Amino acid sequence: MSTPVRHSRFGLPGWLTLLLKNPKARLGLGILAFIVILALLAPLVADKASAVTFGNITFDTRKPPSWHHLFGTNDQGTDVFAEVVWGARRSLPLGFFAGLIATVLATVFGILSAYAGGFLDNALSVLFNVFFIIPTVPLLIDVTAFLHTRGMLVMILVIACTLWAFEARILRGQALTLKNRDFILAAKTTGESTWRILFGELMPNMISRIAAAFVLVFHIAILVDAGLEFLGFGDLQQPSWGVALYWATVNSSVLQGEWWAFLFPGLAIALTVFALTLVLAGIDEVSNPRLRGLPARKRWYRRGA
Amino acid sequence: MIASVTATQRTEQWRTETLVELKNLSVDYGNVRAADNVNLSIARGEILGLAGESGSGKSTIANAIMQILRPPAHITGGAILFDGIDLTQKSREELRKFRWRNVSMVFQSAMNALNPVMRVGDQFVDMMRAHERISKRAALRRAGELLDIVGIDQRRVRAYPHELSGGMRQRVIIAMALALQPELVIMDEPTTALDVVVQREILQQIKTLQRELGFAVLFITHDLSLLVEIANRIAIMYAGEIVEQAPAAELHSDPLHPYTVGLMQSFPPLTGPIERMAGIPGSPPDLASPPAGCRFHPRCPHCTTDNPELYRRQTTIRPLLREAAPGRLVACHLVEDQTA
Amino acid sequence: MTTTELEVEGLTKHFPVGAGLRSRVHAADDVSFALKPGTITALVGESGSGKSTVARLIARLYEPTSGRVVYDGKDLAHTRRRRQLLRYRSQVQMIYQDPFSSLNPTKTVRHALTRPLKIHKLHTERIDDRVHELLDQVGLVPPERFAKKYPHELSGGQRQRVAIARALAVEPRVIIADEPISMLDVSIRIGILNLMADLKEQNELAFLYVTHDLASARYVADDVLVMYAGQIVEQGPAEQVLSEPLHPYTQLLIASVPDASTRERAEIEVRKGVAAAAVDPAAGCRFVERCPIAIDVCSRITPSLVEARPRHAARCHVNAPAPVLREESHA
Repeated sequence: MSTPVRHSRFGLPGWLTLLLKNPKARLGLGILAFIVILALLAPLVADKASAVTFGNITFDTRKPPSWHHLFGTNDQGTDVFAEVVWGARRSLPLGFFAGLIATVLATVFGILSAYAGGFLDNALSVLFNVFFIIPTVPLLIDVTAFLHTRGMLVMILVIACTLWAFEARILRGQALTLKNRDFILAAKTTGESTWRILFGELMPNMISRIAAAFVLVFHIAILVDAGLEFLGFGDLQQPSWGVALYWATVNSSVLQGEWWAFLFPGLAIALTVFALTLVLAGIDEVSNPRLRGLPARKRWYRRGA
Repeated sequence: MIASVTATQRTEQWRTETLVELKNLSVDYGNVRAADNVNLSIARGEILGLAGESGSGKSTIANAIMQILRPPAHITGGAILFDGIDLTQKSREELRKFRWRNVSMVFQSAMNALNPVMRVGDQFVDMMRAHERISKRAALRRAGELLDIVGIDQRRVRAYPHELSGGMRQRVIIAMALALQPELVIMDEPTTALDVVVQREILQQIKTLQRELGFAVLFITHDLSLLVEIANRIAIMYAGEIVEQAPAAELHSDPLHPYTVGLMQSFPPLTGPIERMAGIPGSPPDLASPPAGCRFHPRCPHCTTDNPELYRRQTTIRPLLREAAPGRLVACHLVEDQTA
Repeated sequence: MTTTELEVEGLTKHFPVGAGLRSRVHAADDVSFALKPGTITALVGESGSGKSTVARLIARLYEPTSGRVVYDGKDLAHTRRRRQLLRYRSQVQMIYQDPFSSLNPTKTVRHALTRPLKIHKLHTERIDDRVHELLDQVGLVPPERFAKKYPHELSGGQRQRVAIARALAVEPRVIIADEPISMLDVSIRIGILNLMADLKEQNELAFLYVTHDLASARYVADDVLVMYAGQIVEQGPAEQVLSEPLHPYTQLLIASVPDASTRERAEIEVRKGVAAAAVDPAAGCRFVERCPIAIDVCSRITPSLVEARPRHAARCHVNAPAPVLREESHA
């Protein structure tokens, strides 16, 4: 999965241009952009308070979708639309930062391990395996219980710490194949410092795999977080998609036929994850050496002056 | 022992009989023309050399004859006649029987095409039983005989591929290609991946086998000096076209097409005076948009505005393959003018 | 030319192999030669003979098991000090075999040529000019156009020229070319060889041209070293070695090379044996199994390189016998 190179007038990195041209990635990024905009506009379109009601039984409960409550209300009187829109403000940053931290850790350690070889490589590989085994969800439950908090920061850190190792192994594998390529040896004989070789010459060739790692962790983080909230481990004071689903189940909205209470939050999760999957598929297609859509001459013309 | 008809008798009688004939064959990869209007004939028992660099279309021709072209490659024109019958009209089942029995092929890294987890003998058995009714025991025996023919100890029939050296594996592949006694063996760069001493051994082997068994060989390579040594006739391909065809000795002593001349100037000699050589400037064209007129004209030292009429033809009209002298075909405007 | 740019003495490299890593493959054994300015020395051998290992040892891509690499009076075989190594790298450069992987696919030609200048702090005021000069020198004109290109936009020959320009950027005294033309199209190989010969003349460089192709070695080299199973078996002026070879292996190589001028040639005799490095080799000549003229002593005592003619040495008891036969326990 080596980084393909094309370049646009705007000086965007080549692979990004290719990615933007890929229909799947485009659709995925489009959906994500839409959700992001919605999240940013949240204060303007919905009242945060109405996303979380606690204790007050108003006569606005269990109302189906209407112009007043776009997505209806659940049995607590919570406005489902507000839940969805404000919930995005939890899921998106959570996924993003978990992905970011995990990817940075995976990249740095994966590349170092591959390039160093020998003892350091073996030691780091053991480290990867140790972290790899730690199961995310049980650890999250334990940590949140222990720290008596259900805040985003803890979630982000725990998810990042349990998922980075998986990616690190993969990135290490890719770095291993690249490290003996002639251009890396050439950088050495030119006198390039090790640091610059690793992050100036080697890493740019792994960008598409790193991007894929990021998107994957983002995707898992959202699902894990929503999953935990659904089980009741969420912060009931803050609006989020998982908590919305929790309320919907706990108060038997399902049994009452109040589909709007769980459909919309569920759809929000599904749509986000679907968009991320599309982007991942796009990255995959774009990175694959068997690039379709490239002019035939590229595959055909191997040597020359 | 496989019956070996006296080679000399065979070859003399058959040399003039045409076995394979390509008539105006064109092959496209998507919308890039890889082989353009190719006319070529291979006589029984002769060794025809096909020389060209990457992108010349020589491997495409080989795959076309074997009918193993894969999409997006497809034949867009012309015919491939084997013993007078057009292969492009044959059904899949007929082609399956045709492959390996009438024509077989040795690829470049064929030695890596051997199944690493099967013994060599078993791979022979598999292959033979796919083409004819033969008992396993008889097939194994035949395998042993074939190994013997290519100079490998018969007991190696029980060996795994990784236990044999690269040269020996290539010989196994050649033995497999000869298993069903085909009339034509196509060899696509059979020795390029091998060391020079092993290459010499294999070539000697091929020459001996060809003399004894009388099969025809289409020998494809970029190494023109090799062909001059081993082939009866040589065809030169450039950018999907045949630009020159001649008996090997004549091609070597008197190349007519400027590309052939340039190619000859690209192999430094091992004996004789050391002079500065020119090679050929520029690079093979992009087949997606080849030059107009003669495809070689951007690199040809004889394409200059000195002779405006000739220049006009060189840059607008594709030269056709014509007989410049008995047995010598050349596709070049300059040569046409000179022989007129 | 009596001054020497670079000298290797007794260069040896053993790699651990096999179960438990107890055996050693002798990739290079006791390799000694000198590179002089304004000359091209060809290191000829088949695959596994050790020629690439020697090239990489000189380029300090790894360290030898024993032996010296002497440049400017100092042995740099084992130095780890960054400053010394950097200085060495500004004087000794390498060109790699595969034009498709020797340039970073995500960087422009300009980047490839700018890095060496920046690392060694050369021409800092006028980097772009210098980049254009280098591209000019290797025949990639107009240089402005080529500087902006990515490797995949160039043909194999053009990439190799960029690789040569990169090597020239630091203004080295020695260039090691590891099979620079074997992956290029036939008609362009000569162009690259001519470029190397021209650069050698213009810049008084010392080239080590590693190849398996005898014909190209003869075309471009002044001196030839022939390697077999990790050892140098013959060395001397190119013309002499190739017209009057002493070592049976050299003779075998010459007899095997395709030569268009000979239609009917004497068949070579096929014998078991490969040119590749040996694992835990025993004493005695490593070519003995394939040698048509081997005598008794050949399987017992490893021959040493003996100068049988002026400047022409071979490692052979029969054709280049040592003046006094000494008993040695191992090579």
